[in-house]
Amino acid sequence: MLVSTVELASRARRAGELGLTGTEGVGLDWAAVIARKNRIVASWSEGKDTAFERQGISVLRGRATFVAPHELEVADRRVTAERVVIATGSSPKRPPIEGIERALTSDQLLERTTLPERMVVIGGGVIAMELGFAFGRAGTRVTVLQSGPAVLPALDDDSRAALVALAPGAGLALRTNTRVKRISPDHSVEAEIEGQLERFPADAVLVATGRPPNTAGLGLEAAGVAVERGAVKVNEYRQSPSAPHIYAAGDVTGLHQHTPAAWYEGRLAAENALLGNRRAADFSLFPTATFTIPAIAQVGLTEASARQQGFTVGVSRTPFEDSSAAAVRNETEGFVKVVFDQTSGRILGVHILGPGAEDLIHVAAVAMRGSLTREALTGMHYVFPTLAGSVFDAMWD
Amino acid sequence: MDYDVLVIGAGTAGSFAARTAVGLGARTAIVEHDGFAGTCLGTG
Repeated sequence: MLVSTVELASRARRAGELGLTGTEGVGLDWAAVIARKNRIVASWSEGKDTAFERQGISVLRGRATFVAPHELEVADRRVTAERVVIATGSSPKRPPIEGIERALTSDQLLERTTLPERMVVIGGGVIAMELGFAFGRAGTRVTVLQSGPAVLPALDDDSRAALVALAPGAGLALRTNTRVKRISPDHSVEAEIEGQLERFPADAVLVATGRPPNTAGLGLEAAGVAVERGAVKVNEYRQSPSAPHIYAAGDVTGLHQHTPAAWYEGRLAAENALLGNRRAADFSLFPTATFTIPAIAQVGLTEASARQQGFTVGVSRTPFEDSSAAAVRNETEGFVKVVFDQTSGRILGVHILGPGAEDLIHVAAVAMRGSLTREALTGMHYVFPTLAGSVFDAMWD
Repeated sequence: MDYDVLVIGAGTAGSFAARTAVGLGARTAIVEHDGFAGTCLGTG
């Protein structure tokens, strides 16, 4: 939500190039932005308990703790159940760094009603980069301190390289291979980078180093539920192998921390629990997006993983600079990249950075779902001028 | 047994699990201690 507001503001500021006047004074009233976010979020959960009751679902308030495989305590009350689905989600973690209590989690940062002038982000994953770009484009000077050698390690190398190139213009300094040592009372952050200790002054520090599953206090040992690396261990049916009447879904499994994975697994776990293990979870085709500004989306294999898997890899791509639709909108950054198998013509992966990437990726996902070859797609008609046309153009060599 | 299916957590995964279970005719309960939305939908 914040991302789309900030994106609108940054587009508006550049709208002078399109001949719009009065765009010089476009600003962001951050308190109003946060208040609107809070209203919308509240509306999504409001009335949910009564909706459950209307649907015939009993709502029990409190924390649930197993006391036996089929028996739980919920707020001093004992309840018994034939089957249990664990869906307790995940929470941001604070790594053991001196002064880490001075850092904000993403939840806390999104409650603040003022924009920090300077912000250090500890982490370089999806949350770190999405909030880094949103705050950077909103006017905060952001420094991202990633511990590993690259930000957003799951991305295709070309997408990452393009995003890294855009970062300075968006107000972000990206640093990799860092070891954060200390957060001082004045919020400055000390980190060791290539053997040198550097100090980064900041008004706010965001800690975004991952969200471990919420398993504490559930009494899983009383139910015989095995835990692996902090997550409820499950098989492909989202069933606990050690306690077969117990299933788990969503972030608590530590597998796919995405909202669409949560609803897919929630349904699947309930069906398998009640009907027997009918459906195995299938994530072979799972489109994802990172809501940086611009956004990045991908489906299927990266070029590097396709090569690792031994395919005779071919790559074709189209920059949005070649798109009339992108030119009309004055948003020509980015590209569509297609990774394909030269032998069969099968599409192995598609990677999009640029305007509407999060929507365009579904064109590719549907094509891959239907096992369409590149050749089949190059012969397709499309509406001109559209951003989606670039997905088809990218199929050509 | 009080319920056929007890779902712990009323975020995205738990809500879908509970609705699916009740849709299949199961006696279903959902446990929640803190709001009714998932992380992505619940924090914005």
